Amino acid sequence: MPTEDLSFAAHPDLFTPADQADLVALARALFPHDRLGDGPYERVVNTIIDAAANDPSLLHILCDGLSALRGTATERPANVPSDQLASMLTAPESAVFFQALRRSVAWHLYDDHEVWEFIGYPGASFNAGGYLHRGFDDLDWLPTPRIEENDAPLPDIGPLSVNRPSLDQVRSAS
Amino acid sequence: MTSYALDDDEVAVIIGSGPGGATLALQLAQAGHRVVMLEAGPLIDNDEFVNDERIAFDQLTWKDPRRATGSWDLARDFPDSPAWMGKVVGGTATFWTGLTPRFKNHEFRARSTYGDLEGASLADWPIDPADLVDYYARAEKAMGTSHRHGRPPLPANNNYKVLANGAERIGYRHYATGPYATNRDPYDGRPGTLQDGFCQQGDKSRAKWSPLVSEIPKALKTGNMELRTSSRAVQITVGRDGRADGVVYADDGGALHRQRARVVAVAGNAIETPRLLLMSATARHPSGLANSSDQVGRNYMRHTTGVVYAEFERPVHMYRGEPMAGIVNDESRHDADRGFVGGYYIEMIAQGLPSFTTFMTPGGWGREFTSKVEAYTRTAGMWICGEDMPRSENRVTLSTDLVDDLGLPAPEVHCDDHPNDVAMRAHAYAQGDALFRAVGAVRTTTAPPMPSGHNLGTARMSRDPGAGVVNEFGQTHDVPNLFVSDGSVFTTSAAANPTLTIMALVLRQAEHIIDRARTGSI
Repeated sequence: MPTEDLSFAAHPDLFTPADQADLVALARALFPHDRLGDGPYERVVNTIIDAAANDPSLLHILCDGLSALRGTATERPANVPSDQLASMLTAPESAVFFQALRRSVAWHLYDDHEVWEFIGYPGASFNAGGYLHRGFDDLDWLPTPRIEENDAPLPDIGPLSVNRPSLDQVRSAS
Repeated sequence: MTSYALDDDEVAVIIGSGPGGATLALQLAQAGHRVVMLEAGPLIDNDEFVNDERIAFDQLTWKDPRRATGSWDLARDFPDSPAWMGKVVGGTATFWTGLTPRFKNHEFRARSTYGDLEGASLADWPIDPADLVDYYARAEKAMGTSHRHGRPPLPANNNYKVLANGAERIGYRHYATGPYATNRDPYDGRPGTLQDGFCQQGDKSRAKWSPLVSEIPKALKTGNMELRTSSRAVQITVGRDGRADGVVYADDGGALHRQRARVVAVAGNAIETPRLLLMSATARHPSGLANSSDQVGRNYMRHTTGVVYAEFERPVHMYRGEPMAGIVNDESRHDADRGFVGGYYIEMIAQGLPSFTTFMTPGGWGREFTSKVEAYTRTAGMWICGEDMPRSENRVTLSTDLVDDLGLPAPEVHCDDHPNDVAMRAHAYAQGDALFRAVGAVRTTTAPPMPSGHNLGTARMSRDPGAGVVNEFGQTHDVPNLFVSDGSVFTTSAAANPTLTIMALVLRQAEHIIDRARTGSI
């Protein structure tokens, strides 16, 4: 769905379609997933705008941050390449805006089920019977280890009794 | 349903329904004593738990205002949320992970074993470890913990395969899938695990032990306990004779009630317990109830923790199966040659995507961050749980400006890491990195502590009334019929996850209370 259409649903008196498009671009600049479509980013921005519509301090931070950013750029944020946008966002004068946006976008983006699917996280498993018969132990690239406790004593105090490789030896072996 | 009158002054009032409060309640009720249990949160049945990290967090968590101060990472990363604890019947254990190691003998003698560490208020426990052995066994049986008393080990899930193989390759030998308080096979009327993950969101299947599925229903069944939910204790009252005679609590609507009592036991977790004692100050107890030692709220400990995540080329799917059924004990010993005193456990941890992205790099963003998120299904995790140094100035106090919905002062939790904590964490991060790289990790990420599930030490146990709040039975030195029945009593933290030890201490406390009640001295 085009960004400019979506924005009309979400408080057009507070955020213009251009505001929303800029926020979507910023959300992607903060958390770039190149193979992820705009849908989740747009939903995240709508959620944040909904929150700001009932939270004067957040509204203030977002509006102030957007205009400050536009004041320093020759282009609208939506037209600035993602990586360049990210460095503009981290300028000291954007600190409050950056923190608010970073926190909110991270919180909502990774709670979006399309993002879960994109990453490969299936969420709840209880109604499918858990993973008892669906691969809780299907990792096959390592040997199956012991699950029982080792009967050999572990000293409470002092060095390990076994002759352990040093970390440098372990690192060079792997 | 059993109910007791507010003016019944023969009841034992227990504040909090977590492992400490619920264990005490069951013992007293089975011995024929009347119990009124006050729980600040609601009763939520296992069927109502939601396997969604965000929804479950809202449903189960104590979210009243709090503030973290000090040099610890949490004051920066999660300043409003220094601890993660439950406000629900069953307490924090409704979403605990379930590892149940015992303390080692020398951990009860931390001061004698480690010496006088500058900047730490180390002390020896007033308990002989031998006195706890039987209670440990009873607590393990109550939970049906794996690897103990004939309970079978949990099988290896994917995340454990990574952890255990990595441990073996760097020379560790003491790894296993437990002891872990979740059923592999049916036990105590509860089923075996479905390996469905999500125990930190409340376990829907009831395979994981918590007071909600064991002590609480058993205590109710005796007919000697009344459970009052949405009942938040705000003050313990003291009579002219110097004994606790009641508890004032607020109901859901904020209206106050007062339950009279013969005995009062506080089990509100190491932040709310000292807060309640401090809020119960009177003219005769001007610095807080049971606080003549000035130790209430001090020596706050939360274990030295941190997380190491490791990314592999091949799939792990850490979210499948029991999230913490894996432990490596080799570093839990005390070996000062490592540059710190005390020890730590390496414990398996798995998180869903929302928690992973919240805790993997607090404040993280950008391409490196998102590349780690995209590797989620190829990621394994381990959690560090190590002995935390008690410090007198690490303490819970009443805020002078932040208040809760009732207008009562919110707790402020101040914590500065001791150099020992910093050294231990650095050692554990390096070991975790080596462990995972030994089995092919292509990238590792170290994460700072998450809001603390283990909260300890703020009503310290000591033989000397001038040096602590309670005696070896959790009985306050100042008020003879007032007890503390949670991790607040820990003199030192040890490295072990605390729930088992809380229960063992409370089983011992219960015998003491029942004995004293019989002789009429309580």
